[in-house]
Amino acid sequence: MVIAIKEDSDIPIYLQIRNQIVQGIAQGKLLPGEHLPPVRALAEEIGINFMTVNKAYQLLKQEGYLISDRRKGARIREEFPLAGGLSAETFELLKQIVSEAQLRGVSAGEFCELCTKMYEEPGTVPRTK
Amino acid sequence: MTVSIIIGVSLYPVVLIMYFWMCWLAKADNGYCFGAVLPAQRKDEPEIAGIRKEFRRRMNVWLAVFLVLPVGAFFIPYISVSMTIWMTWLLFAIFSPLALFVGANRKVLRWKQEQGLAGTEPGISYTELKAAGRVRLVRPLPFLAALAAGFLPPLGAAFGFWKTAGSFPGFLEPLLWTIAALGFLFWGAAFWMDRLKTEVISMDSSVNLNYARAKKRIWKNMWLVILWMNTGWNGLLVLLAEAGRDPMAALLITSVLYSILTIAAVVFALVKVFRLNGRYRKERTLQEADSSDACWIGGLIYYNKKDRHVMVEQRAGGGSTLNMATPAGMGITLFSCLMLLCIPVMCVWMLLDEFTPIHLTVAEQTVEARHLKTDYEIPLSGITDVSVIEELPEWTKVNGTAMDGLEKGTFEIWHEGKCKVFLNPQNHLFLKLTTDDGVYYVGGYDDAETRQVYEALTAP
Repeated sequence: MVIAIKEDSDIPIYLQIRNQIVQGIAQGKLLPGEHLPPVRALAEEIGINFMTVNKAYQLLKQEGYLISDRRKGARIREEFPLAGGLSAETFELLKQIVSEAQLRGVSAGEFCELCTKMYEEPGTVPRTK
Repeated sequence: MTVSIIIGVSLYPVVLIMYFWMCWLAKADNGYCFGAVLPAQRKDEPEIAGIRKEFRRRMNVWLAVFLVLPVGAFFIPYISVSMTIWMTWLLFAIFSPLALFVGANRKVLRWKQEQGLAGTEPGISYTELKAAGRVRLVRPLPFLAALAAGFLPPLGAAFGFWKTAGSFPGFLEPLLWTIAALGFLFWGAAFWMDRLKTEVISMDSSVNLNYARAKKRIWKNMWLVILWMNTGWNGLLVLLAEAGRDPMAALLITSVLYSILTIAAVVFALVKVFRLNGRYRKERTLQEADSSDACWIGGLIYYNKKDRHVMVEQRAGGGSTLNMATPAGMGITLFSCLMLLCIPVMCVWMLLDEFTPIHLTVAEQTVEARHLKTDYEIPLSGITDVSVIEELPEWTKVNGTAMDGLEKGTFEIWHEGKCKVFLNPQNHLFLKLTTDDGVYYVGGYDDAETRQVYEALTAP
């Protein structure tokens, strides 16, 4: 799975990493139970401070995408807890995207079609409980 | 003349290596052209072909000039002058083709600007998540085995295991230790290259991982082969000494052989990397942003403050290079520049050494040997025997200077031991002074000066 870091982006690097790992899980590029590289190894590979990667991993852990222990390191959860909806942050983000779509003249139908397409993109969506 | 021929034969291959390497870089097909990003669909543009052709034409002229330039050095009788010419030639032979490369890089960038390909979009750096810390091919055991084997010859010499160890010429044992220690350098280089960031050439992880493994395997094997060759060199030196061969001749022949084989190993690895790039040409679907060209000065020097990597893959050449924006990268570069500066300093020193006359005088109850400074002060009370000799013994320099017109320093007469030397071997009269400190072979500016000192020493 390739992580693309935009150096001049307004989105902080830790969030870029977090977002792309979530996308990777959703698209089946990262499978349930798969191990993620150690924080230092990933930081060295990207060429950033290890604290940045650590922050991204902590966030993913808080959100329930990762589990980690001292011996085995971080890995993708086998099963994701059914939250019954989006997190508050994601809901805010979606509100912003919908507003932008409205302003750009994208109809509700077109928007839903776009969302459906994204949902049906090739890749395995991990099982939920 | 002989020394000049040896230097010439050793250095001439540099021109050929630089020529073939540069011509190879000119036609490299790895997503870059002279170190600038070039999309695959634009690589056959006539302007790009023109820049490549012009570069090759210039390299042909360069080759002709640099093959002819140092010929005069073969006929210069002064080693310091001849050496200065060779060293100046060597520096230009290494750096001038790089200047031509930089010129070609600028032309490509200008063309990209004209075509609107210069790129202002923010740089994106791609990282293969699954490769982080996982593509490591340098295992300690094979390297440790080669390194340990390299230390056997000097250890054998130190503990008197070799039957000739006691009569080794003075330079041999430290040389064996030095060669063995070189192994750490090769292991370090292998380790460092193994930790280079995995190049991301595709969105497909398996392509990236296979490409990275194949490439790192080539470099790992190259360093391991070089390390074993280093070990072999040490072993060969001891074997030749055991066989009773002249150690100086053995050193000369084995070092030439070692240099040729090392170059061959590097060239072989580069050929394999280029072939690998060729095999992965179709899979290479991901390219750096055009704006990243700004981080590559002249397409050769990498300077990116936002990248914490000290070493990165080279755009041109297939190896790796330093990120000059990191303190380590800057430090290593400064150190290398200082080392390069040593070459002209060494040439000036050699010129002074060769053209400053030597003088031998007796004053204030001491024999004083003066050259650039006072080299030796031998108290008359310490001299037990003085004799005039007309023929010098066969000796090898341990340290100091050995030129056609000057021999100075510590020398070793094989099977006899070390002695101090201060003379011009072109003269005909020399003094052998046996002292409490050892034996001195000395001489004056000319035979008259030597005789004058002899008379002063033997006067009642």
